Amino acid sequence: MLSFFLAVLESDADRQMFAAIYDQHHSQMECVAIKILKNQSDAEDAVQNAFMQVIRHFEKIYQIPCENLPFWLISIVKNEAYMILRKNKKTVPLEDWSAFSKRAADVSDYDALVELFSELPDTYRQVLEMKVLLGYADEEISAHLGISKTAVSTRASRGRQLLKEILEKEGFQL
Amino acid sequence: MTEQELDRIMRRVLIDSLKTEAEQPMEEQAPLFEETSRYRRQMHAMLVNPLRWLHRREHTVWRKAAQRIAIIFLVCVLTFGGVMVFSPTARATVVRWVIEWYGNTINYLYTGEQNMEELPQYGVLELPDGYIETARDIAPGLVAVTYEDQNGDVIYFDYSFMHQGTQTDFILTDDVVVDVMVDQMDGKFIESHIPGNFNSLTWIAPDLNIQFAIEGCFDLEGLLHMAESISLCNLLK
Repeated sequence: MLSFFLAVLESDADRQMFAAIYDQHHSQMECVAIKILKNQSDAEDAVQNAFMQVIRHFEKIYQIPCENLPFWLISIVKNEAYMILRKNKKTVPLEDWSAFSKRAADVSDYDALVELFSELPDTYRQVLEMKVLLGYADEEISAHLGISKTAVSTRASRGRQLLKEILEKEGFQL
Repeated sequence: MTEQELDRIMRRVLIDSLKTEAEQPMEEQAPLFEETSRYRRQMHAMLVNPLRWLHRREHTVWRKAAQRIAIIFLVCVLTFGGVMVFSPTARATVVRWVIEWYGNTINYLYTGEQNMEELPQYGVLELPDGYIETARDIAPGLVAVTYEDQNGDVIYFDYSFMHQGTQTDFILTDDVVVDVMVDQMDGKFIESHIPGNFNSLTWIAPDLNIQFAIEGCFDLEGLLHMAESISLCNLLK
């Protein structure tokens, strides 16, 4: 794995690209971190942890369309910030999936669908973002979020099933 | 609908929900992100060499965890160590330390009698140019000192009493371990072959009942020079 990092981020071109990504996006990532954590030290940790993830998964950068890159980075820093928040609180909030999924009945257009998914319970959204958006393996997500692989798989399949039902019900063409 | 199509749509929905969130105005109560000088230094180091920075940060996270484990062991000693006081047999059979190898780990397991004294405060006198002490974590039976330069490059200097129930682990990745002498004391140089990874030098001072370790991106000569310059220091300086 380590030799893979070396192959990916050893060239000057990669380093320049990494520096450019930092220059363009670090302010927004810092804003997101402080907004969630409201603590400078924790926010700095979240941003640094996010850049650790960027370095570890740098090969994926080349597969992400430029216009989506800022949101890919925001997703990473948000996940890191929520992890710190969860560690600090030392508790996991209860997440009522059945109550949330009932709201699917109110979705009538694409904007409402996006709004619904922006309000997913935290761990569901984190699992879906890490799996579908960031391409992490279940093992990585499990280790990162501190939940079992079964819990990862359950959250991913529930999220997919919900989206599938809405798409079929409303007949969206995307 | 195939799984791939569903994932493609899911990706789009998640990206759009992130966009919607990003467009929302910042709450007035949210504090501003005001970077500290330490953060600025570390980010500078990250940009200079991302891989080296990553390895160091991973190392720091592991090191913090190791310190916590060491403290937990010490708590166990405080709880159960009383047996030693009342058992002459136990006291007589004291062995100070054993070195065990488990797969990729060198494990220094201490069995020496418990020492309730405060650890003396040591420092590295002969630091490379530009390095200054930036942190000193003092825990029962364990001191961890961090030296940093302006580029965010780091040297770690740790030492601990060799108490029964405590241990020090060195986790090896692609390392070579060489027996060395530090001021006529037995030690080991753990050299990583991965560029940017830390090398470690550890040695035991039996008279002091302390194990020392220095870690940094330096060769044996550099680490030995620092190790041989360790001296008691005045924290009020």
